[in-house]
Formats: sequence, structure tokens, C-alpha cells
Amino acid sequence: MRPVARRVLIADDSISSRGMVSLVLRSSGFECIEVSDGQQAIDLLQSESVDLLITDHWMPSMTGLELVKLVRERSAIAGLPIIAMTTDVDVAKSSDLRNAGVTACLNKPFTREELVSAVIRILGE
Amino acid sequence: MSDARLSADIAALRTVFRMEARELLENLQSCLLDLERAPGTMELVDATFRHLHTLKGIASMYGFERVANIAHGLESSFEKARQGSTEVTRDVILLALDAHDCMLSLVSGEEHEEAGESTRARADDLIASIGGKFESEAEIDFKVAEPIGLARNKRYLISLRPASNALFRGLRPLSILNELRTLGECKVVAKTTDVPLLGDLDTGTLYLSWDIEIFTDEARSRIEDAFMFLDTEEFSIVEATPELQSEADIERRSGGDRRSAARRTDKPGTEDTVRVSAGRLDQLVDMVGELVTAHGALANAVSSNEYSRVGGIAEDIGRLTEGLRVSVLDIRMVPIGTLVGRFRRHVRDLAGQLGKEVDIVVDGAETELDKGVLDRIAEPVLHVLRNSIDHGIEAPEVRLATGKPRRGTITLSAFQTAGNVYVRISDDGQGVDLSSVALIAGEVVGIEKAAEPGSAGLTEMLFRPGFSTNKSVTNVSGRGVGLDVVRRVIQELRGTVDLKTDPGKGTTFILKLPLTLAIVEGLVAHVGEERYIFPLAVVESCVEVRQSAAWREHGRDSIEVQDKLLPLISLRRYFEVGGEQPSAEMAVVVSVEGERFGVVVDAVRDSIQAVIKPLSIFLRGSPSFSGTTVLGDGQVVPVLDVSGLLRANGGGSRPG
Repeated sequence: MRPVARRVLIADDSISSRGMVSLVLRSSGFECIEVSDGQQAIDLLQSESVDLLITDHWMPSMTGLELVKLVRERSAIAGLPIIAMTTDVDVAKSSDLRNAGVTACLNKPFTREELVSAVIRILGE
Repeated sequence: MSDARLSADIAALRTVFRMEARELLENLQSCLLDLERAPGTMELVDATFRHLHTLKGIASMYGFERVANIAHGLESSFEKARQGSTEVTRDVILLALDAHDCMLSLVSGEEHEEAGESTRARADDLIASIGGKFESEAEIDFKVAEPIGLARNKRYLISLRPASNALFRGLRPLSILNELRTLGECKVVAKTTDVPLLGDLDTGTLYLSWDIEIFTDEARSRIEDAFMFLDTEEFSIVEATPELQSEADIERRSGGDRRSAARRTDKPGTEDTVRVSAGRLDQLVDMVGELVTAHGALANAVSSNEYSRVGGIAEDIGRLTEGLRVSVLDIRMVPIGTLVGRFRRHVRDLAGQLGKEVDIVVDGAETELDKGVLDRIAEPVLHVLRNSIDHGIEAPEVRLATGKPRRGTITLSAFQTAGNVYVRISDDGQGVDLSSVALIAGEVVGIEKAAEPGSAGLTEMLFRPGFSTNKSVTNVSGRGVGLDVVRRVIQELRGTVDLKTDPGKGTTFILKLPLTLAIVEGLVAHVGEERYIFPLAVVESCVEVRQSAAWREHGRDSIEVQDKLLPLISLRRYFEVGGEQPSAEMAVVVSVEGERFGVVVDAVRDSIQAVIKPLSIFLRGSPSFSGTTVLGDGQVVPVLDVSGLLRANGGGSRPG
């Protein structure tokens, strides 16, 4: 019996970026849902249960940081693990993301192995 | 998911990446051009920065290091401007535009090797001069550019056809399939055609056979192991490469009927993609669902002999089919504003070369046009723009002297009527000097009495091949590629071009285009047993032709229509159709490229709305056909390409 696949929600306004993350994770046995902005992520989290949120930092209308804060405010999903992706080393190094409650940061570009191992560290094999 | 499958998915994603990168670059360019006009606009600096940032992110992810580095370097310059520590100077904008061009060629490069040697060298120069080296803590080794395992992965096509008594031998096909599944990803298709009706079924007999496609890293011998209990004639294993598969995919994808009318302009290397909103797709899915239901109802009515219900169901199906047609065509619609985005840079560069100052303004950018039409009018529209910049808009000093603003304006507007889209390109330049047109018309074409200035006949002259009022040939337009080319392309799209000019005030070109190329209104003409479709757009009228001696013997004749002699082309003769020539025939009077002539057929019976399909491989290259369509009775008939027909009959030089 295979365990039920863990679900990962990916929020990124760039289709090729979230597509790649999703592809790599799916090939490692995770189930992925893609959305293109923070609001969609929030909407989806209300109706679907997911095991992990991966969000880009720079997105129009709502940054990853804002999304993280919103998630942490909502009791039902406050405990959801979150990985933030960013191209900005400065953003990644600043304490804002961590203070807001991000579980882990990934600097773009990251390798497949880095992505998968970060996810596995959080969700297990 | 197997690695081979992963490679295929990555290849698909790379196409998405290219699309997204090109879109980002287009937005970037548009921001830069705006910035050039209005330096220091903070929103523009912000937007530029964001585009560069996103581009850097995805380029690095997909292994386009040079693009990432260039974007990174530029991003730093704009970041400083964003924080107010420096200004975006004209030099920075020029450099950025240059970098844009370079990144565009890099992104469009075929392989992950990016573009050619020269582009790479240019990119490295740029990176050096921008001083940006994007070094993340991670190495850029998100090796999607070299899909993992593409080279070593294998695809096998297996045919498993055990003898019908195999079950007696103790063979368990399921365990074979399960074993294969442990070796890689399998697609299994069971052939059930030999399974008899239940009453005739013998439970000990094996009626099934299987086709299996497997992606695997394993050696062939490992796969053969799975079949160790089978005789050699009971299975076959053929190796196919993943590349082969993707080629087949490409061929399958490009075989779609969207190529119909665009077949001659397809440029290699441009990905033919259309973005479709999820809403439009949902609508399609809904309608397909309803169609399936309607079919069920139809089958039901027929099997229970309730034929009285069929009429109603047919009506439903008719409504759904029409709905589907509309929705499918909708999917191909693209806003015309996307065209202008591509041209802003051209306009800027051209005007710069000629020492002129020109703005391009768009009105009705959201008007939608079939993607096929849009792609094909790009060149003619660009040509008209060149024409306006070169011949229309005056030099700044001249403009100021005549009381006009220093900068010329070209307005591109688009609007839509029932079945057509109008694209209007007007400039506020000097207009066309009709008296010199009349003069040249007299000299060059031999028109004896020059018509009065302002008459339609004179503007018509401008569309003649080889016609130019420009005494000095510039390297912008007037190179012999004249407005005749514009007109030909537009007519091939079943559209028309018109020109209005107001000396001293400007010139307006009006392109009238069909909303879509996939459907043509046509006349069905009969010749003997054959039928041909005339696109209605080129047909002026139909007149009866009585046989004359000259017509019978040489197939050459002319008829008088509205006081003009029209040359005739006989389809019967041209296509060598058998059967007896009727004594009274029909001439379909058509007009293309400024030529009017009659195409003689036996009879014209119906007018139809035909969905054009691309020519089969046997007919491709035939000048006289633009496609085929299926008539209501199921017969496939060709759609005539009337201008091709004219050329094939030595037309173009005949007196009109």
C-alpha cells in the first residue's frame, strides 16, 4: 500500500517557474496544485487541505511575505509549513520572512536536489 | 514518473519558459520605450525592474545563464534608480534596449546552447559592460536544460500476443504486465476485439492481446526476461527513442487545421501557441458534454424507432455545433494590441534612422482577431508603417514650418463589424501628392489621360507593382517592395486595402480583414462531375457565357461586363475535366490584385459556409488551391486560390 501522496500548493506568478517546481515535486511523488497569486492561494486553502505551501516572494498584488502573514493569522491553517522562494539573496537573508513564520527559504536558482530535499525535510519521505 | 517522461515534460515546460520570457521581454521593451519618452517616471522604473527580476529568476532556473546575467546587471542599474540614488539616463535605456535584443535572440535560440556564436559573444560583451554577474549561492545547476537521462532513456514498443492456449500452459499475463511495470513506466492497451459474445466464451481460452509502451533505463535483456515463458512468436520488442516520439508529437501537433490558410507563412522556429483563458475552455467542455448527451438521445431514439424525436434532437445538435464552432474560433482570437507591441521598437528605430520623430498611438487595442490573420498581417502592417514614416511623416523642421507639431503621429485603430475587422493606419504627414502620382502614372503605366487628382483610380495606382513616387530610393521603403505586396498578402487573407489621402494633412490606410481564416463563405461551382469552391470575397458577379468559336477552339475569349472586356479562364480546360461542355456556361467574375477576370464553370448552384482544411500532401504546392472543405454530402472539394489561378494562367500582365 502506498501512502496517500502529500499535497503541495505552489504560488508563483511565473508559469514556467511554478511549472518547474511542480514538475520536479511530482516526479518525486508529491501531488501539486499551482496558483498564480497569493489571493488564489488563500482561497484554495479555505476549501482544500494541503500539507505544504511553497510561495514565490515577488508576486503582483500580494508578496510572499504578505501571504505568509495571512496564513499564520488563520487558525485553521496557521500551522501549515511554508517554503519561500526568492531570487533576492537580501530578502532571503533578512529576518522578515523567518519572523513571519516561514519554515524554510530557497534561493533561486536552486537545484532539483535542494528543492526535493527541502520538501522531504519538512514532509518526510 | 519515469525519467523519459520527465524529459518530455521538461521539454514542454521549456516551451512555456520561452513563451513567458518573450512576453516579459516584450513588456520590458515597452517599458523602456515609454521611459525613453518620459524618463524618471517611477512606475516605469519599477515595472522595468520587476520584469528584469522575474526574467532573471526563470532564466537561471532554465539554465539560460547569459540571460540571467544580463538581466541581473540591468536589474542592478534600475534598482539604484528605484532607490533614487541615480537616474535612468538615456545611455542606460539604449544599453537596455540593446540588451533586450540580445536576450531575445538568446531566449529564441534553439538549444540550451542558446543562440549562435555571435549572439553569445555579444551577450558576453554586454555582461562585461553591464558589470553584472549573477552569482547565487547555489550553482546554476538546476539542470533542466539538459533533461536528465534523455540520452540514456529508452522507449520500447512491445506487442504481447500469447497463443490462445497459453492459459493452459500456466501463463499469467497479468504477472508479465506487473513485472514490466517494475521496470519503468508502462502504457498498456489491451486488444479486446477477439473476445466473443458471452455465450461463445470459453473460459480457458485467452482472447486478449496487448500493446505496451514502456519507458525504462533497463537493458533490453531485462525486458526480455519478463517474457521468458513465452515463445518468440508470441511477443515482439521494438526500441524507439524518446526523440522519435517527440518528433512524432510535433508532427501531430502541427498537423492541425489551423495551418490552413497560413501554410505559406509558417516560419520555422516560431512556436505557434495561443493563450486560452480557463473560462473559454470550461465553456467548450460544457458544450462537448451536452453534445455527448444529445448523441445519446439520438442513439436512443433511433434504437427505439422513435423517429419523431429525431427532428428535435437534430436541432439541439445543430445548436451545439454552432456553439462549438463559435467557441473554438473564439479560442483563436488574440487582441490586436499585441501586434503593436512588436512594432513600437521598429517605428522608433526607423524614425531615428530617417531623422524623424514619430509616435505610434493605438486605438481599439482590445479588438480581437484570429491569430492566423494577426500573424499574417504583421508584415503588411509593418510595411504600411514604414511607408508612413518614410513617405508620410515630414522631417521635424518641415513640420514646424507648416505649423504641425514637431513629432509626427501614426494612429493605429482597430474595430470590428459583423464578420470583419478593420485596421486603420493613419499618419498626420504630408499625404500623397496625387499630381505626381498622375504624372508617373502617365509615364510608367501608360495611362493616357491622367485622371483628376483625388480620384480612386489614382490611389489605385499606388498599389501597382513597381510603382513609387519616391525619386530617391531610401533604404526604408521604396526598395521595389511596394504597396502591391501589402495588397497581395491582404487579399490572400480575403481582405481588402484602401487608401485615403489628404494632401498636407496625412494618409490613411484601411485594411479590411475577415474575422477568421478557418471559415470561408463560398460559392459551389460545378464543372462536369467536379465541384470547386470560390471564396465569396473575391466574387463580383456571375454572368452567362455563350460558346463562341474562339472559346470552343482555343479556350480563349473575353466577355463584356459593365462595358469592360474581361479575359476568361476555363476551369474545365485548366483542370482537364472530362465530359461534355455545355452550350451555356457560367462565368464567375472575380477580382484580385486589381485584376478582374471571369472563371468559366458549368454552373453555380449554392453558396455555403465552408470550414477550410489544409491541403493534403499531394495537393500542397498547387498554386490554384488554398485548401479543401467537406460538403454536406461528405465529398471533399477544393477551395480555389483565385490569385494563384490567375498567375498560373499567365495573369497579372493581361489588360484588366
